[in-house]
Amino acid sequence: MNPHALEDAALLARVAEGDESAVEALYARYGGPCYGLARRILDDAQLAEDVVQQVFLALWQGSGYDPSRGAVSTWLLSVTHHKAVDAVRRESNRRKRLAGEQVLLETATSGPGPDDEAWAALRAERTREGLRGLPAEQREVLLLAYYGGYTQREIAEMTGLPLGTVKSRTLAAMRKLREVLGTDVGENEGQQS
Amino acid sequence: MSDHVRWEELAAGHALDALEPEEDAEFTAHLAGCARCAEVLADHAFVAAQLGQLVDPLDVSAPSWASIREGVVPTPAPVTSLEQVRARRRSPRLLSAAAAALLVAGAGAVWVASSSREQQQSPQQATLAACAASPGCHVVNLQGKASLVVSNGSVRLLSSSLPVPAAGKVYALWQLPRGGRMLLVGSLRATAAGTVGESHALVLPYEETTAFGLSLEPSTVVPTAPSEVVALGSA
Repeated sequence: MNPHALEDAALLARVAEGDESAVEALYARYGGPCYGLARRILDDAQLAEDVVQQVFLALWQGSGYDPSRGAVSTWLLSVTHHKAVDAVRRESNRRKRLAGEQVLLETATSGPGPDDEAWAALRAERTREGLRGLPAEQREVLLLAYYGGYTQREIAEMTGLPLGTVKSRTLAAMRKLREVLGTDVGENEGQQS
Repeated sequence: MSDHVRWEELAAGHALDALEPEEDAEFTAHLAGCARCAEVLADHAFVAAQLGQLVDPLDVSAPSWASIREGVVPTPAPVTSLEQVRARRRSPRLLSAAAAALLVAGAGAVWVASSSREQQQSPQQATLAACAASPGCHVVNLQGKASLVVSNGSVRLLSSSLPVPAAGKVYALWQLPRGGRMLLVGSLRATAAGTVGESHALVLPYEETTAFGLSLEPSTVVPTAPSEVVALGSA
């Protein structure tokens, strides 16, 4: 159980009532990880800030969050990722941001997580462990998609792999990571039952 | 490869935002009727979120709330009462006052509905949630009465609590461009089950749209302007 889940639910209720201090509190809690992810994908401070602004605007306007889909943090990071990928695909010079697969791998498999709460640390460690345990070819397609913002078709072109292989490797990687993450750190921490 | 494996592959790609638009649209449409895929997608989305948590702390900190705030909360002064909050939320920047009043009431209703819904998602809810989280796909809430899914230049009324129109009447869907008059997108059929409509091509790109609207119109005439607006939703 995410110890923040109940607090987040209360904050969301206040946001729904138009309480600005509540969205500010959620920004204080999750703005950093959202900005970090957007910055990682976009490699541009202003674009990343724009994305984070859009994410919290969506929160303020009450659009899209569904408690059944998991924690507020999960939703915010998911929306951040979607919007960052949207933004990066609009950029004509996106290829310039490709820092190389090795950088992507280092990004994902080393260093502390953004939150020092025990549950987050546990999940982060298990995720890193899972990534390290993936076959290199599966890890490559997964990280190019998530952190690189590339479509699977683009990854196939970049790597010379058949598209079907990219898809099957991605699915295999996601399944293995889910297995490594286990059920005790599952997605239900945001639910309010 | 079985169909199910293919859908699982698409679910993984969807969770990573790595599908091409046509694949994403195909998966989103399939998701509406597949509870199993909704479960699979939830697992993949969870894994994707964990990847998002791994990003290293940056050597520059996140922007302050003060710098973010302007684009999030359009009103300048701090909130002091619920009445003030409600009054402020009746003033979105892009819409006329009349349209804004309708839209804000709708947004509140949608939020309340979202907050109190059952944890088990219906296929329609899963589709809406998947669309809301997909690049290039947009959900437009029509005051809690209906939801539009807009992607790839087309719009579909996914679900609706709108009543079946009286004999001789149909629902018409409109696009409101920035700085222009309402443009007719098409007519929509309502059934006793309350679900309406097929896909219609957008008249204008989504990015040039301020709002969508539904009106009731005589079934025998092609309207040039909405005669009885029953719901609006901001794009």
